[in-house]
Amino acid sequence: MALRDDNERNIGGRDYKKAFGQFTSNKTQRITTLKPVEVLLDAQADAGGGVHTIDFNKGDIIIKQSGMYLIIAGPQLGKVRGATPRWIDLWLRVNNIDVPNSNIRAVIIDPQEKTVAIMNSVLPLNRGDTVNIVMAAETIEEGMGLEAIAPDGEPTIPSIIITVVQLD
Amino acid sequence: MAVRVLTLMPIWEWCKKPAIVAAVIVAGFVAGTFDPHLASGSGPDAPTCGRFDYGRDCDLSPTLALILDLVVGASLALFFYYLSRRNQIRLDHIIASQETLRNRRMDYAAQQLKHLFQLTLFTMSVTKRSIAHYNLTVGLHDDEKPRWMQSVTLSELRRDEAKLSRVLQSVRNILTAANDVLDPDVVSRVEGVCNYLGEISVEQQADGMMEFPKYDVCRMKVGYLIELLQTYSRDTRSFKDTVDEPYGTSAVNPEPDLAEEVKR
Repeated sequence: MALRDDNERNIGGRDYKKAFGQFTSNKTQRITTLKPVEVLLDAQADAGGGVHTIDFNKGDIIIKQSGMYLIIAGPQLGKVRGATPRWIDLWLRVNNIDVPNSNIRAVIIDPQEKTVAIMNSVLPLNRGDTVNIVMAAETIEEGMGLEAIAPDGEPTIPSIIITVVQLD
Repeated sequence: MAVRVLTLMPIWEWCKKPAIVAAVIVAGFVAGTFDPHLASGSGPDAPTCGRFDYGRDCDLSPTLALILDLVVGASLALFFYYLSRRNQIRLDHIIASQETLRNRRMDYAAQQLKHLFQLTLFTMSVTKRSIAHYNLTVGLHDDEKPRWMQSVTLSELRRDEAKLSRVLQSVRNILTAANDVLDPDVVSRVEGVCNYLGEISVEQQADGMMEFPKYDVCRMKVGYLIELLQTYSRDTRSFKDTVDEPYGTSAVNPEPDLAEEVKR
């Protein structure tokens, strides 16, 4: 008899799959205000024939199953002008409330510098909760933000890749 | 053969043993019952005194004393049992009434939360409709009195927003009042939705159009919560979390064609 995969359980006589989702944005998003800005998303990886166990709408990642979640985000950071080192911060927001200890900072020196800052967090989330990635920069004069890059002969580099996996 | 060395235990160590304490109490009771009567009964009584005689010439015999003690003991036991039973009945009654009160509070909270979130959904729809009405007036000519229409619609919008915030405040009040009877998961979910909706407000765009930001997400979140609140059962006094089955495509429409602003 084949063993049931650990990722699947039988709750109430029906299959229960742990939720997962991968979200990207192919749009460059520069910060134009000193207030925190939500990162927008425009694509979700399809898996298992278009099955989406997590939704998204613009910048909101919407959880459909309650549980403990691992969230990993990799934003591609850069700026347009200036040679002064400038910081850019990214953090998580759940239900419009900033998540403590989720903030990360990257410092960009010049426009040639491209950095991927990794943000990761484990959070208990309920069905209907929304998760956002929020960013803020030191200045709005130098065009800091997330950059999508399309190199020749290679896949597009999204401005952000977010992976969300249900742990339990 | 091992020799066990016996050491004297301190008295307070003995006092900690319930069996020892019980034995001492029983011994005291027996000694107190028999010894005085044996001593007093050992005096010269009249030869005609029987075992159950008691009078000027006849002392209380040990047997009669024992019987009297037993009667007194039994009466006291019955009396204490009666008091204990009465207290127990009162305690049971208090516990039962508290449980009933708790259940009623939980029923009320679940019912009221469901109604309030349905009202939230309705108010959001009305707000959205008011926004649509307002946006119709943007770009109208002056002879069509757009200012008057905008001011009327705007006041409706503000009224709806105020109503929404009152509803959310009522939800928070219920959470505060019933957070000891509601499931913590439910409290956390309701709080999450309240936090989310509390930060949402109608915004005016640069072109003068009004917008309800994240309306679809708000509707979905409230819908999920109503779905959960509707599963409340008065029999089990619990909520049953539901999961979409089978997993379908998103109910929220993601942006289909965001212009790709790609750096080369």
